Amino acid sequence: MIEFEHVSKHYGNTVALDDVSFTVPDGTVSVLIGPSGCGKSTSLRLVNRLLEPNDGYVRVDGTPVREFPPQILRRGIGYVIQSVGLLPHMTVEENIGLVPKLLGCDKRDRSRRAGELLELIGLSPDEYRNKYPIQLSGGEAQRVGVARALAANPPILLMDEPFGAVDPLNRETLQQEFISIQRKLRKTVIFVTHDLDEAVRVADRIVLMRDGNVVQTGAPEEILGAPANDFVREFVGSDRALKRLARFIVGDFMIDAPSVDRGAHLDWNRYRDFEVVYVTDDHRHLLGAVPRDGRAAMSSAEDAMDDALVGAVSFGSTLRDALAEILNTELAETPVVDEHGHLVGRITMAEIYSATPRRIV
Amino acid sequence: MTSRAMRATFQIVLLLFLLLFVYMLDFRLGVLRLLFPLQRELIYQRVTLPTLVIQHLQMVTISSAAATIVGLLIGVAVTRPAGRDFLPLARDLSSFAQTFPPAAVLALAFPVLGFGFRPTVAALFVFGLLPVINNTISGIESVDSRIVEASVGQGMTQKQVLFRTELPLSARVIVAGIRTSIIINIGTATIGSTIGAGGLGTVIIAGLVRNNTAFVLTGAITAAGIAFVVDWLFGRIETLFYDPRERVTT
Repeated sequence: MIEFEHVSKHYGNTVALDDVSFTVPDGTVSVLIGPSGCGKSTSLRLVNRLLEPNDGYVRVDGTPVREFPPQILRRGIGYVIQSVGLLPHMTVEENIGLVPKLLGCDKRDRSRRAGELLELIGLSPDEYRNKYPIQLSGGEAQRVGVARALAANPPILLMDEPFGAVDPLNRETLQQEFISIQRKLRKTVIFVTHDLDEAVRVADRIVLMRDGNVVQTGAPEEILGAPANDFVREFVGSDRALKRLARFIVGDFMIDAPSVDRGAHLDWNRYRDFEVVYVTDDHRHLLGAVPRDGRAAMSSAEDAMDDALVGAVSFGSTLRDALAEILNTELAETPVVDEHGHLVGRITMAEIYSATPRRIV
Repeated sequence: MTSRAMRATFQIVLLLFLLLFVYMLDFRLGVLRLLFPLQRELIYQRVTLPTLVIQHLQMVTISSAAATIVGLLIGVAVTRPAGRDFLPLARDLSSFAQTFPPAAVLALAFPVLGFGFRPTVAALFVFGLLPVINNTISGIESVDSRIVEASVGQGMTQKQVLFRTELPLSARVIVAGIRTSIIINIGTATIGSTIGAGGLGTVIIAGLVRNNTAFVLTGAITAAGIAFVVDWLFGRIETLFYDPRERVTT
């Protein structure tokens, strides 16, 4: 657990942090976000003593960080910054092994650990071990930065705009990977970003800051659903309701979808309450959809269906994706499939409206 | 032939020429006779050329080694947090000292250190110091501050940051400074013979006094040849280190 207790920091007459208090519970991701100069990076650096507060305490598991020698403290805290943080004269393996080396691990252990971590972040150890940072793409360098922070298995990770230098497409992949790694490892993470979408995606809690003060803290859906004041409302944007949908998983909201086998005759009398019936094969693979007003008296469902209507969302995606899909089709709903393409349910506008903050991604 | 192969060939020919010129009397005689057919006295008799070369190299080695060590220490000291206040001073002093003529340094040094070897080495030391200090400062300053901060953030001590991050990343620039320092000293050391320090200057001065261009050229060719070879050697050493132009892609 990381606690900020009435922490203030100023540079000369400039106040960077003004009596800031918040808590990061164990095993959760807290995202510090706000406009530039709000004090989010300053807060992060107070934790590993790259900066010292003028007043107040920063505690890790109850102990003020100032009671640890800085080097010892830092070796126990993973630190990820934009990819320039890799040492350019060292190979990927040497970069990952940096902290273990400082802690006195021998070369064999370091090499083994680097292999494990490269596997974890999805880079082939044999291929990447001996590369230099300049030979990596932005996304790869960033992954190696995460691996380096995890090398000594620290309980705490500090991430300072870790994906800021990566293009949007890669950034989303990196965020997904980070989320799945975090699900496995359950680190206590402070994550600094200025990208609200990123915050909504990775955060368990958001700490929204402005001019050295904490404006609002809470789960992303709370902040998006109930902005504390005009500043927050403006910061999260008029599309906050849309952003909030990104916090909800399709699988938790979907309802049963009516379906017929492709060989069977479609009898609308049986589906009186439905606007759309889905057509599947013997293994319940989704093939297409038949809208009520579509071609009627055909011999089989397969002949009647319109396969142009078969856009679907996966049950692991978010309600935001589902809404986008609904708007993409001519139907007022979208089918949901599992990872094998099997039809497992559907989402209509009613489910979108019903979304309530009851699950954290 | 590629330009690299051409350079290598040129370097080998040059090295061979230098060795033959210094150590084979007949070869040197042949070269000088070709250049100066009318000159009767072609070979300086009082001291052999290999002896002068050794004296010359001694002066350069001692002064440059001392300059390298002291220059590195000063350069590192003024880039530490505690010494940072002295950084502008070190820069100004080293730039200022470089504008001093070597002869003036000698003139100032010999009343204190006497004639000969010692004041010459002292003057060369002062001269050799400057490029080393300048390049050490520039090299360390040019290391991306974010990389330094990342190193600190991973838990390196100040000493580890210096030895594992700053020096390896600036080594190429520092070696370039040492290279410049030695090359300057090889040339400047010839002036030491005016106060009796020996070295290749001896034969040059003798040539000037007796109006014997063959003598002047003997000293000049040899000093230039040594400078070439040392320069080439250090060029190779530089490539062993990290090239700061290779920035990390972000």
